[in-house]
Amino acid sequence: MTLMCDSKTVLMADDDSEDCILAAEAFRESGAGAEFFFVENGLQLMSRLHECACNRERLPVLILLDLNMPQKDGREALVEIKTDPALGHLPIVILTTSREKKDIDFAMGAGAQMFLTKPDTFDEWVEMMKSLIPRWL
Amino acid sequence: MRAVSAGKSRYTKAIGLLPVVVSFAAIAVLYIRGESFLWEPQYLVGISDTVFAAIVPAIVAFFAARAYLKTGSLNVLLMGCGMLGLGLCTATAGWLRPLPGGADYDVAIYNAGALVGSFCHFASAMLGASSRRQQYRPARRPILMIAYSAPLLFAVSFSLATLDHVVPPFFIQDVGPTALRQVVLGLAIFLYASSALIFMSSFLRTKSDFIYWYSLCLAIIALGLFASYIERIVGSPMGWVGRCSNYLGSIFALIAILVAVKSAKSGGLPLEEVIAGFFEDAEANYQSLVETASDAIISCDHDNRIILWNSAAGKMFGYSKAQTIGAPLFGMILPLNHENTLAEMIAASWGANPPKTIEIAGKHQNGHLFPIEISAFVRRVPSGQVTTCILRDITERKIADEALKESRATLQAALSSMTDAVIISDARGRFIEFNDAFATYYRFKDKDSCARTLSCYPDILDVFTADGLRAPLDQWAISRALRGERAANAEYILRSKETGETWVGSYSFGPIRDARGAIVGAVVSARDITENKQMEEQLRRSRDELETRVRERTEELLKTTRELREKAEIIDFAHDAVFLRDMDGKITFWNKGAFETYGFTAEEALGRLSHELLATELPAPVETIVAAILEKYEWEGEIVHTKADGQRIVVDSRWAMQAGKDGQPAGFLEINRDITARKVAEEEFRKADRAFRTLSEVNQALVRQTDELELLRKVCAIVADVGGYRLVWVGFARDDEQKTVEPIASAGYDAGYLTRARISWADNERGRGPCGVSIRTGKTTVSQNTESNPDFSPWRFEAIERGIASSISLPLIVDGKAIGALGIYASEPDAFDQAEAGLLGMLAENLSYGISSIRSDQKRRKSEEAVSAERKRLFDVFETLPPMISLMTQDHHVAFANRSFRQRFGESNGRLCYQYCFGRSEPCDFCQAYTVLRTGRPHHWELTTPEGEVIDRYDFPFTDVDGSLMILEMSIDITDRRRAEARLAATVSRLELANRELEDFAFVAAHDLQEPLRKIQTFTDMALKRCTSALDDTGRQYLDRVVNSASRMRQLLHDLLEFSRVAAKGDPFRRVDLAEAAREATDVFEASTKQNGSLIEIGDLPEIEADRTQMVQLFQNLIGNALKYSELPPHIKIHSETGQEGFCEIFVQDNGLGFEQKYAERIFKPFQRLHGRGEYQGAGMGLAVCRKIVERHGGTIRARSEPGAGSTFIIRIPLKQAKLENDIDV
Repeated sequence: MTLMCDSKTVLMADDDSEDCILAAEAFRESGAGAEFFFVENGLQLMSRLHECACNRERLPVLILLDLNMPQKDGREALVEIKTDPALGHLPIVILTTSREKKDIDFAMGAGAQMFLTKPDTFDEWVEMMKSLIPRWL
Repeated sequence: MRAVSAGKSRYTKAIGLLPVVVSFAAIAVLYIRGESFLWEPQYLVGISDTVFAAIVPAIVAFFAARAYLKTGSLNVLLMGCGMLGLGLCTATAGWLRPLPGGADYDVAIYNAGALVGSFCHFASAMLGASSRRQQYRPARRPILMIAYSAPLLFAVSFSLATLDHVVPPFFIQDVGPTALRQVVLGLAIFLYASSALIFMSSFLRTKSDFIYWYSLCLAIIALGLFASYIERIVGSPMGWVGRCSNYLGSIFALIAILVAVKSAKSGGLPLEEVIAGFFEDAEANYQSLVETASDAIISCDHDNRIILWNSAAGKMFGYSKAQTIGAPLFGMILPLNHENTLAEMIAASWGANPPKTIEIAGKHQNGHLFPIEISAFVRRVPSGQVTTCILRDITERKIADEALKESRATLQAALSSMTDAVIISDARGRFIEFNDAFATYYRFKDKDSCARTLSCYPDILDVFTADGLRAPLDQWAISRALRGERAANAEYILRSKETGETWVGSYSFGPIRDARGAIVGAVVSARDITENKQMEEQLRRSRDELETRVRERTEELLKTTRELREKAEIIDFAHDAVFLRDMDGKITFWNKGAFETYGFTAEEALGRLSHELLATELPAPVETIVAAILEKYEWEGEIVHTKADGQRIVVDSRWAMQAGKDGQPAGFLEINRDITARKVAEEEFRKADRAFRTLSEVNQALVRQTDELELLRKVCAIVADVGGYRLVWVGFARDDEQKTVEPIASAGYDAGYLTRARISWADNERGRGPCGVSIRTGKTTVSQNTESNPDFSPWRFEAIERGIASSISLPLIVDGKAIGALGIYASEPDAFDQAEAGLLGMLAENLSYGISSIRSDQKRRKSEEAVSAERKRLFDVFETLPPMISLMTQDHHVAFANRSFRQRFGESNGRLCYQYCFGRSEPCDFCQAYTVLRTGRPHHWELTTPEGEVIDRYDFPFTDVDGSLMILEMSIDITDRRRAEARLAATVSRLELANRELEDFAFVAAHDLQEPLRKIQTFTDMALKRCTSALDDTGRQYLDRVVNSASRMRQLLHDLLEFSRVAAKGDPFRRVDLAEAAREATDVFEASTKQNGSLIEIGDLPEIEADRTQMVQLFQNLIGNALKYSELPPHIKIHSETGQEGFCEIFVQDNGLGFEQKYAERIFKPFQRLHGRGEYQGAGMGLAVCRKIVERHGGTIRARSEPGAGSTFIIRIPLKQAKLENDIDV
């Protein structure tokens, strides 16, 4: 755990608690050396990020963002982050149930680094997490 | 009626007083002077009494009797009795006067009669004063008999009694009257005077002439009796004054009767009524006036309660007098709300003459309201005021007024539809009515800007009569009509002072007269005939030109003739031949003139027989001539002689008988004058005249005839009859093989000549005659002598047989081509000299012109008729067509409307289209019909009427037969169609919405169901993987089933999502290369095709407008399907064929398992499978998605298959899509 506290964090924004649990589990299983946090919506995500920026804490190294969320959804949050000069550099992976071309086009157009559809099995979850490590963790 | 109105009458009445005054004065003078002079010639008294005192009263009594019988008036009866009583007694007394003691008789009978008379008059006066008219007393005749016989009986019996001295003496001559007589006469005087005064007072009330004279009559009789009363000697001046006064009284009574006669005549009433009426008082008169009035008369008191009600009122309102007296006027017979109206009217008409009237409604007893005219006046009486109303039922007048209004409206409608300008003017030249055509005719902008009185027009127009003279205002049509003139087609030339435009009008006009025949206005109609005039003028000019030419020719001829005649006269003077012959005819004298005339010298002639020498041809048998000479001693005539050189000459010959010494005829003196030259000249003149007359009659026929054949016949007849030719005919050149000249018309002596002549206009034997030549050459051709002309040989025999000696043929040239010839045959040779040929040539020219003008006329008429017939047919068709069809003029008149139109909008009755179709007063602002007039092209538009109907309109420019431009309009009421369309559109959009909602729902449902399913799968998976220790075999088996079910459900949801995505998530249509799409689809299967050696052939596929992704999916599904259901190595062929109407057909053919054709439809339904789930994978959605895709593109998909023989899927899809970018499904 101490290792994990060496301030590398991954932040997941998703209102679906089951997916958060699965993601967290899979992340742990994948053996990535980072802390895993989640928020429930775009609003919380944004306040968390701004908080970090103000307190000069370390910003998350990766954001996993669901598109469909209450209050502020992933699309808005994505655009907001990517247009904020202080946050724009943060890598964002869209993790959602949608396979819509429209959504993919939008997300990639807005500057997301990757677009992933939520896997059907736990093994796939783990595989997915593993695939993220070499790039950002 | 009975009122005294004339001043003359007053004057006469004043004169009537004079005798009374004179008589009174005479009595006074005689009484004072006491004259005792006696003058009493025998019988004078009898005669004068009879005449004045008996006959005159008898006449009065006669009229009185008739008046009584008629009216039953007792006054009249008593008046008659009184007159009769006094008259009879006076006359009897007069005749008894000469008897011894006659004075006593005279006085007694006279005075007794006076008393009787006075009683009667007094009784009448008293009755008159009580003003009762005894109308209903029965049995008037017996009463009259009794009443009139009473004085008679009295006179007779009293006379007898007096003669028998039964009566005590009345008068003793020279002594004076007895006391008895004084009592009797005094009473009579008193009664006469009283009656006179009573009647005079009645006269002052009634102002009745009759009563005046009657009262004077009584007064003067009273005076007369007074004179008798104071006389002492009968026959003294005083006695005569008395008698004369008595006579005057009778005369006054007669005057009274005459006054009655006059009054009866002027009033149109029976005399008897009038006489009786004089005795009635004013109130009674008023009552009877009221009762007999034809107007209802109602009086009411200050509370408006009815106090007088006449029988006319009863008839008008249906109430009896008893029902109405005391009833309120308003509410019962007049509506309550009229109370104030009536009061105002009375106030307003105070002193007005004639009294004002108003029209209000009256109420009949049966509740029916009707219009009445009422006048009223108020009379103040002690109890307040009395209002008297005179009411008249004006229902009929109202109806008449309405009818008048209606007929006026009809008149206006008629006027406005007329093309002739029509003006109706009143007697002072103010225009009461005029129509739209009037405005056009007088060059006004519109009807409103027309000047409305005749007197304005001299400032606007100059008017000329047809011969160009300026017409003053009193010569204008309206002025003439107002003077009572009538005319049809009178021509006027008008010139606008403003613009100088000139036009010619044909006027018809006449006065309008009232029932009495007085002129109250004028009606004038006018038509612009400028164009006609111009045409006429042209025709006239060309005719004048012709006539001038004819005249010139004629004058030339006349001149020649004159010259010839002068020459002949000179010859006459210089060359009279004179010779004598004896009874045997032997020449005994021969003068120089004879030598010069005949060429025989005297020596040669003398002794020769004259008729042998000169070969005399006499105009009559010689015996006749000799007989004439023996009777008259001379003879005159024209004879033919032969000169010495053999020339035959005509001489004007006069023979006179020479008597010998014995007085017996000895021989004849013959004086001859050579008139051969004159004869020739005369003949020439006759011929020229004949030709001219022929020509002018032909010209007249040309002007009048409109039928070609008729014209030709007429012309032939004229030339034959007037021109005096043997045979005249017209032949037309036919374009047949023989080039026949077909006789069309002929006149004169034919006898089959023309039918046998078989004339041709070809250059052959039968075509070289004058006729053929003239047609061929177009020139006049003459054959001067039938016998000698070699060209005439084919017809010579026939011609000679018919007395034809020479002929001329004149070509008829129409439009530069000889269409035939006019052939004229004369019975003498050399008949056609240059002059005649010239005139006939002109005639032929005129005839040619006539024919060509008739032909062109006919052509024009025929084409006009054809056009009108065509038009008529067209309109007949229009009439029955279901759309509304109308024809509108430029000024919004509806010239034609078919049945549908009329059913929808009714009859136009001359109203303008907007007036009667939409009830507007000006053209509709939404109307686009008139753009047609501007553009000249058809116009199609849609009209929504103010009532909300939708009308589809087609307007076409339409030229009428007369060339005027109109609009042919076809209107179809498409309100219902539009409504149906709107309903359909609404339904479709509702359905589309519902469908879209359903599709959206399916998509959302499928999408959202995936989420929890994925969780089920993941967590089951985790449970199996991570909790292996906690699960026994059974638990694991259960979880496996959960995993399987979830997996299948996932597939189902996936497919469902795909299916709904087709509609809900499709891309817009773009151009897609199908071959490329098919190749892309095969890429997916690349791995498996390599593996099992399957073959996919892609042939030529078109480029269409489609959703590319879906096209790829379509091919994927079909190929996948084919690959899936195969046992052999699959072989798939994809190709296309061009289908119909912008479609192409794509065939996807495999060699797979195939299926039974009966499943061909089922396989396209969602979740339908032909095989068990275990055999082949898939949820059975692939083909359903295919169909959905194809249908979204507006195409169809079907399958053709046989078990074991493979399947073919056929996609029929449009090449182009209706909407490319904005696909409704997106």
